[in-house]
Amino acid sequence: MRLKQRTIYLEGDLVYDSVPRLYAVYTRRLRQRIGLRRGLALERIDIAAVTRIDSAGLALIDEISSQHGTHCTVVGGSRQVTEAIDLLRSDSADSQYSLHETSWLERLGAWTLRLRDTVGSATRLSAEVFYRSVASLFRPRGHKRGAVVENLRIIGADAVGIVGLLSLIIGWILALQSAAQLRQFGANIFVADLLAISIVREMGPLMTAIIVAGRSGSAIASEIATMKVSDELDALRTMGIDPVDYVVVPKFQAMTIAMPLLASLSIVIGLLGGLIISLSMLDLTVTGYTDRVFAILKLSDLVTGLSKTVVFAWVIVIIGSYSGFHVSGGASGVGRATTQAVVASIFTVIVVDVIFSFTYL
Amino acid sequence: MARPIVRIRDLNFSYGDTPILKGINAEIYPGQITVIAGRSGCGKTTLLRNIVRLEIPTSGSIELFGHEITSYSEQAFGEVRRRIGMLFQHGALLDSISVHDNIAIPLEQHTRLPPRLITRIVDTKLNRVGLNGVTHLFPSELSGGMKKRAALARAMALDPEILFFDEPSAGLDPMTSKTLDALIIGMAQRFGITLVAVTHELTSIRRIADHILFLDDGEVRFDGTFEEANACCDEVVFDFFHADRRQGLGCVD
Ligand SMILES: Nc1ncnc2c1ncn2[C@@H]1O[C@H](COP(=O)(O)OP(=O)(O)OP(=O)(O)O)[C@@H](O)[C@H]1O
Ligand SMILES: [Mg+2]
Repeated sequence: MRLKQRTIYLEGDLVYDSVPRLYAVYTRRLRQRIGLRRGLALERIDIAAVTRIDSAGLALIDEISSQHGTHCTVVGGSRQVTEAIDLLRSDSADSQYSLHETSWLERLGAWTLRLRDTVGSATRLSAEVFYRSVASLFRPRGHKRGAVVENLRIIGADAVGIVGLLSLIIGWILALQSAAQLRQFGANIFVADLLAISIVREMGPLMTAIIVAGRSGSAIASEIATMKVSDELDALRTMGIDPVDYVVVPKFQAMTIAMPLLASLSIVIGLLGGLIISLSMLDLTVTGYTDRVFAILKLSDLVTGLSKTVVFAWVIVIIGSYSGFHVSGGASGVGRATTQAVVASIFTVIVVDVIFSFTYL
Repeated sequence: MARPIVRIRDLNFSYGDTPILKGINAEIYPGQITVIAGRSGCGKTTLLRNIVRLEIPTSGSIELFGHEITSYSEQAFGEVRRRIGMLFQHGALLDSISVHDNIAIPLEQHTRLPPRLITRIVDTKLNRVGLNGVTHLFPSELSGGMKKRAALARAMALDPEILFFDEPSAGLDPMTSKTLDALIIGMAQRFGITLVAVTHELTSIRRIADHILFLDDGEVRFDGTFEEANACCDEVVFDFFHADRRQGLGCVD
């Protein structure tokens, strides 16, 4: 590559293997020399000595000439090279697609409209899911036989291990933390009171909901999203089967049953965990512990604790399926929908929990 | 005749216990357009996948550019892979990145070109397949035919010596598919690129094929030119090549 009197001479092979080096030579040395002598614009790129050219070579020529305005022309070029350039460059006679830029105001407007649509369609979806879930109790149709039982197993039974284990650990932690404080006042026995109230009313239901949101909320979202991007939902529709009936209703029913059961399990095991610590480290007796637990707990505590888990279950199913139905894009869209479902449902579960706490102090 | 660019000997391939390809023998010559034809499910895609080493044959040999690739490690095949392009049946664009970035992938991976030149090459390639102004769109925002063309641009990014197409014109309107055929012929005739296309479309086969490999249930049923295929009296081959005629025409011997 040489520069001489407003002309760059290119020679040899202009191919993928050589172009990166040539371009480096151009940017480091030649461009500067051309730039130094202002007014001496590049006029020609001479390719007479070029033996072979491919897409990279063409890109190099185009790039160099575009940096020097419209006066720069490409000259020389054997028949073979010119032909190659023509073939590489030629457009297929086809329509062009145009893009148009959007201003921030436009984007803000679009965002607002989208938010309104989201709230609207999420509400519609919840109404539809509720209606169809209840209706299908009387007139089962549109979903696979045994789907509810199958889902009960996946959402409920399969989660027993992890829910149990985490509840046990949470029971230990709560007992240890509270004991450290209460022991200072010789009030060891109140550990039982504290555990009973906090586990039954808060920790059990909330822990369970978070685990289920992570396990099953994500599964619901990714299953529906995958079906959506591979046109399976449309296929169901054309067969006269409503996707909500077929996919969401069994999960909704199964979740409504499974969640209170899992939460009950979590409560029992959490209290058991507390008992273990109390016996081994706080010199309490089994009867002492259980007596306190039953004395402090009212039936209404258990009822509010468990009934809010049903609401959590609904939140998880509806947010999961909403994210699934509204997926856009392909494989990566499915990933986004799943993440969004987990984050949104855990957030909503906690917000709902706060509302419950204020309502039933 | 020149040395074959692809040479397949006694190729067998099974998915699990199901044999799909049964003793394939074939040669593909440089600069020619070879069409692999056959009924749906006969193993055309599987054959292509074997040639580009996405599947490893159960037995037999495949030579690409004179390299026996069946025994190559993935790494050793890397050098060869750079010289081939493949257009999948369903496009297989990566959904999470824009059209521009899709086409830039092979350029970024296999060359040390600066981004400015890469962008230029991407634009040229898109222009070549008639897709201007979509560079910043995502694949999910394209129509089926547009995706196919974007995928073609990606397959051509490194100016491969041999290009494999799995059903280039499926899902395209007749005009676009004609343009695509013209493009294929142009690449073969003027650049000496070797092309291997799987297709069912008789019109397309008629336009482009220098050489036809007809597969039937995992075996090569016919190997020759279009004229020979047309005149071939083998029942299956005849039915295929005369499927667009009216019923009742028999083979005239
Ligand atoms: N991943 C796979 N696992 C198991 N079997 C497969 C797989 N892919 C394809 N097959 C089987 O291999 C056979 C050949 O499939 P292939 O995709 O090669 O057909 P094809 O000739 O390309 O058909 P089409 O024209 O419909 O695309 C089919 O019977 C199919 O069931
Ligand atoms: Mg196929």
